[in-house]
Amino acid sequence: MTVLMLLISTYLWLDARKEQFESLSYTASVLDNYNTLTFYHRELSLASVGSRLLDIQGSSQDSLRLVYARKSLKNYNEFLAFGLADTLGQLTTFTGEQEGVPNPSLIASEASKRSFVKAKKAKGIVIGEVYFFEAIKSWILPIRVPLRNEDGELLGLNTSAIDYQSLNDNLSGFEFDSNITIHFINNVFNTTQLYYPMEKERYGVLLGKSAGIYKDTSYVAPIGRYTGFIATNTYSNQKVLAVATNAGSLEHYFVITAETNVLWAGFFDKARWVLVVYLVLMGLTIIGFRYLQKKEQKYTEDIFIEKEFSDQILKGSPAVIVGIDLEGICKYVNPTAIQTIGYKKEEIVGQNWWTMLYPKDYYEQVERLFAELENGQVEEYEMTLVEKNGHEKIISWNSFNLYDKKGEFVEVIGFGRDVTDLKKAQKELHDYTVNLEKLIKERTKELGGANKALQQSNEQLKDTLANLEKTQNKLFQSDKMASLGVLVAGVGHEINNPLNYIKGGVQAIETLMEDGDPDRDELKALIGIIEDGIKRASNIVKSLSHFSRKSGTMEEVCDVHDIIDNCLVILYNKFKHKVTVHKNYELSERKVIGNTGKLHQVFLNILSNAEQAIEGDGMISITTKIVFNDIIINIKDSGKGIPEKYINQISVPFFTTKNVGEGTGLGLSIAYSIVEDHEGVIEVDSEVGKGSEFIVKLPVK
Amino acid sequence: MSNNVTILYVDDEFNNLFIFQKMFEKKYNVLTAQSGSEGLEKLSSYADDIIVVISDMRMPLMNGVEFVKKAKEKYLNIAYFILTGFDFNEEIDSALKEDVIQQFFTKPLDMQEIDGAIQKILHKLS
Repeated sequence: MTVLMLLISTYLWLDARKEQFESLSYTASVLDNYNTLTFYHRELSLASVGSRLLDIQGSSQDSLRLVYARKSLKNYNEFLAFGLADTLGQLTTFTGEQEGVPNPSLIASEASKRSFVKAKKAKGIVIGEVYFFEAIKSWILPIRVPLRNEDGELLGLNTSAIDYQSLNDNLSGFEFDSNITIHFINNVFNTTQLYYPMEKERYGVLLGKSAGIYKDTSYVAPIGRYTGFIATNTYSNQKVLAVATNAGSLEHYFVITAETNVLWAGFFDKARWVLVVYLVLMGLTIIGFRYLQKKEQKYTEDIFIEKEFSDQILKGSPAVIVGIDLEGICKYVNPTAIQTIGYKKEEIVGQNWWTMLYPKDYYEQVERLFAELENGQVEEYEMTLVEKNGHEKIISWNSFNLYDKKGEFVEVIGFGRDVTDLKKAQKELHDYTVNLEKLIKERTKELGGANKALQQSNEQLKDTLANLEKTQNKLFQSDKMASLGVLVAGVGHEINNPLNYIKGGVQAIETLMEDGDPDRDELKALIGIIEDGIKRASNIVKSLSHFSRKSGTMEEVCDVHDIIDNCLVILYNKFKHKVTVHKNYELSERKVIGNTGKLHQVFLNILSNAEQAIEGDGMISITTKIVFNDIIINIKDSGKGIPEKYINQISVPFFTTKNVGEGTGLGLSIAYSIVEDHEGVIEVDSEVGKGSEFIVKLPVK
Repeated sequence: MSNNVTILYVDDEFNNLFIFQKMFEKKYNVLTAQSGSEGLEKLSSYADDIIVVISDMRMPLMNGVEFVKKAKEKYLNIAYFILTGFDFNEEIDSALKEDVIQQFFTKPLDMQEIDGAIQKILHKLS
């Protein structure tokens, strides 16, 4: 594309150049039709171009001398051009001493002088005043340009003149007007130029639209009798195309420019859009190229990462990965594969995979696999290979077909999983399962029997439990009976004593009566004793009646003090001479709701135990009080105490430390359960050698 | 008259001592003691006179058998009896077997029974 663009550009440039030349040629032809004069004061050379003047008359190099030139003109016989200047730009008077030279005063009019002075001081071009030049019978417009070097130093003045007469002839109807003329010169033509060689460069002045001092930069082409140059404005660096004519024997080009800045104009006009498009396209191309470059770079990076990724996967994969071509040659093995088959990479890669790992007896699998592969790829396809050291390895394979760019099947990629251990474990598991099932069957059978036995014994247990409940009830009763045994023993003696009073008293009275005169006081005493006996006996019977109650109700009003007292009555004989009882009855409210008979049993048990715990003499203190809503009955003895190891057992049924036959072991357990039935508790505190303390708490109702 | 026959009755209850005295005072010379130790005191004073000793079983400090055993250590010739409100028990049983006591009576006492036993002793002695 770039080449195309260059071609287009070149073509357009050449085309533009062609136009320049055409333009210059046109200019040259225009110039031929107008006369202009120019002279250069320094070398006092004078030249004119245009239709009238084709030759230059030189003069001396001396300054301050009138120079003139004479030339035969096409339309005039003679033409004299003249100029005057000194190196310093001082106006020197024209002289007319020379033959044929008109009086300079004609020329050097006052106006001319004025413009000269003006021009010397001016930086730019000074347009003089139009005047009639008698010598050529023409109206002349002098144009003066100070020539300065780059440092601004004045080099000289260039004066040009335009033949106004011919101008007017050509532009018929054009009335002379200096302002219009100036305008015309400035805007339409770049007119007469003096081209000045200075050192190795040539300088020139340009008037008109592109007025300024120029130096030439390059030769362009000969155009007819003119020479085309490209000149550069020494200030603005603007380039113009200049047309100059060689001033005869003098090696000076008198530059007559026509169109300024035409060098590139055509080209730019034509090439502008092409250039824009070209630049845009170039830009796009560059951007596109950069984009592609980046993409390429990224693609390369991506490929690298992708490859690295694949490599790492292949290397790190726990799977056996192999590549095998259609000939069976192993192309690739990953580390897991190497580890699994036992061969080194160099031992297997390049070798025939199938014959290497599937010896004769195993090769049949390979043939089967090939048959499978004809139908496509395989999944979880198990094969047994023989590794290097001769061990079998069971591998479960998944295969993938690898195709080349043309879509031709070239390689099989195999992903394998070593399932040797798994298979072994599966087999073991299977064996275990079979064994287990067998065992379970056997055990189930056994269990069935055992279950039956269990059910039987369960039923037996139920029966036993029912029996136990019955027995327990009986035992409750039996303790009552046992307690009654205690009672009866005690009560027997207790009742015998008052009976002794009665019987003895009666017999004593009878004895006294035998004499017929018994002592009245003695009789009275004996009767008193008898009454005492009766009273005591009846009390005992009354106490006993509490125990014999069969009432099962829990609604009776029970007087705690009465109950304890009744027990003490019954136990009187046991306590007598042995136990001192201290009673601290502090209860204000001593009624509880419950079963009187059963509560008697409780206290009889506790008091009787207390008595039994006392060896020799002892003391039992009974304290009653109310704490919050509980009636507290504290029975403390000075007995031997309960060893700590037994404390927790005393409420256990059948627990006893007494000899066989002396106690049932039920007394306290029954007492506990009775108190529980009354929503109370029994607490025990005991210390061996000091005694025990039974605290019965019963709720007040 | 058997009034010169002296018997000792030991019982911790005064009422019983009173009744016993009134029963037999016309027949015998009755000495009473309210405890074992008092009984022993009486024995030491009247040992020569006392022929029969009857003791209650349950008494404080020293029960009937214990008292009798102590008494018998010194006074072998006296006949000893126990009068108890309890049933027969092991202590009394062994006392009987060891001939510590002649016999035992139960309360309520029977005057004839006791008198018979005393007479029997007297008969033996005479």
